[in-house]
Amino acid sequence: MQEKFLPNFHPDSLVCDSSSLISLAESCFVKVFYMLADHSKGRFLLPSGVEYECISYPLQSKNHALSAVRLKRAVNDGKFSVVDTGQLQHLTDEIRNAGNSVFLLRGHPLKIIQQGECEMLALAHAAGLRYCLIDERTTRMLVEDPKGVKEHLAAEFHTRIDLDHRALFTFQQYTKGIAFIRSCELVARAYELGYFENYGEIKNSAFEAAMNKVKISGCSIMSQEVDDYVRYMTKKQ
Amino acid sequence: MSLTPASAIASILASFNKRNVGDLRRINDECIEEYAITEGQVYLELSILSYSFAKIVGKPRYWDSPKRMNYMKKMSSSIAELSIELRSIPDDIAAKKIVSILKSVEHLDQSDQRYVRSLEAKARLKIASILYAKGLSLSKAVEMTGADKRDLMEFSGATTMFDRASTGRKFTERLKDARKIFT
Repeated sequence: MQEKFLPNFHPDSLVCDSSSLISLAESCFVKVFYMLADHSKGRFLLPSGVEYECISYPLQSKNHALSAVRLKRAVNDGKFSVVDTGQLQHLTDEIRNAGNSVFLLRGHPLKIIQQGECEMLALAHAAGLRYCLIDERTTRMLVEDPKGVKEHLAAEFHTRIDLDHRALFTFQQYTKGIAFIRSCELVARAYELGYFENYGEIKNSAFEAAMNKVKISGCSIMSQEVDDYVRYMTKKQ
Repeated sequence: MSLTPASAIASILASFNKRNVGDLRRINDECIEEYAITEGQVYLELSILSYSFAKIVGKPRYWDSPKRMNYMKKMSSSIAELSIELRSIPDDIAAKKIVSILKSVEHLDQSDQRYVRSLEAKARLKIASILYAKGLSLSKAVEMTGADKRDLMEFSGATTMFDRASTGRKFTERLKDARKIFT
């Protein structure tokens, strides 16, 4: 159900997590957002916390100001819409509390998600939007495959992990229907739309290099997936 | 049986005195795991301490002068005192005492600093990376360690952590969604 204080966003709008902005900005692919923005009726939406984390805060830092500047310019150029999520704090907290109650270790809840990721989920839920952009692995897997997360946690902590079905049900009430894509999907789609045409006969190499770069920059994609992607995409072209 | 701060510091002391890097790394892993489960600040400080010591112990330059050797002995004494105190003080006080030992470690590191990033900053980043790999979210790992998110993403991206677990839906399904959004 659409929250009244939020504007009506086109259903193809994409709620962005900071992880994907970071991967693409650090890989020098902010221009991918420019290209794709012209191919969608929807908007790239930045929750206010994501804007602060990716732009306002790092602008003050020597180490990461450059990528922040690139993203700031994209905001100024109208490629992103920043959404004030102040009124979503209660919903964000509910999602976080539910998500952090799903898995139990030694009988106690294992807290695995945090405000930042939950703000993205809260905005998607409140605005009735389906698509989210996230490179971070845990939040995405918690929505897509909670049993897989349970198995992973059990293997990593070398102990039994219990699943609280009631907490999971609550969490899923807020997240069902959300479809995640990653920065590598944006790069792949941009490739299909001609982003790498300027590279001429080496455009396929450029695409492969780009996919590897976003992976190294932190996009949660397997090495095998990158290889499969390159084979799949370059065979079609 | 879960790790206690007292048992951790005793193990750190023994391994430091024996210059056993392997054991310090093992203790580091245990402290990180306990921190992930309990979020007890004392375990973060113990993780940073054991990581820092593993780095120091493995490098001859920290042991190559009488001045530094003396410094190491003083550090060992401080840890030995703390090891006795930890049996009777609450964890939050223990965490503060470990922080003061860490300041000595930083002082030693800065006396011959080779990298821009300090030993403590490297420790926090490494711990954050392990927490993320274990299954905590990126933001959660950052929140728990104070590491920088960008640094963590770059650090994690260079590891094989994403190859060690499923990534959910097939990429072809995600690409279908991207095609629906961007026509």
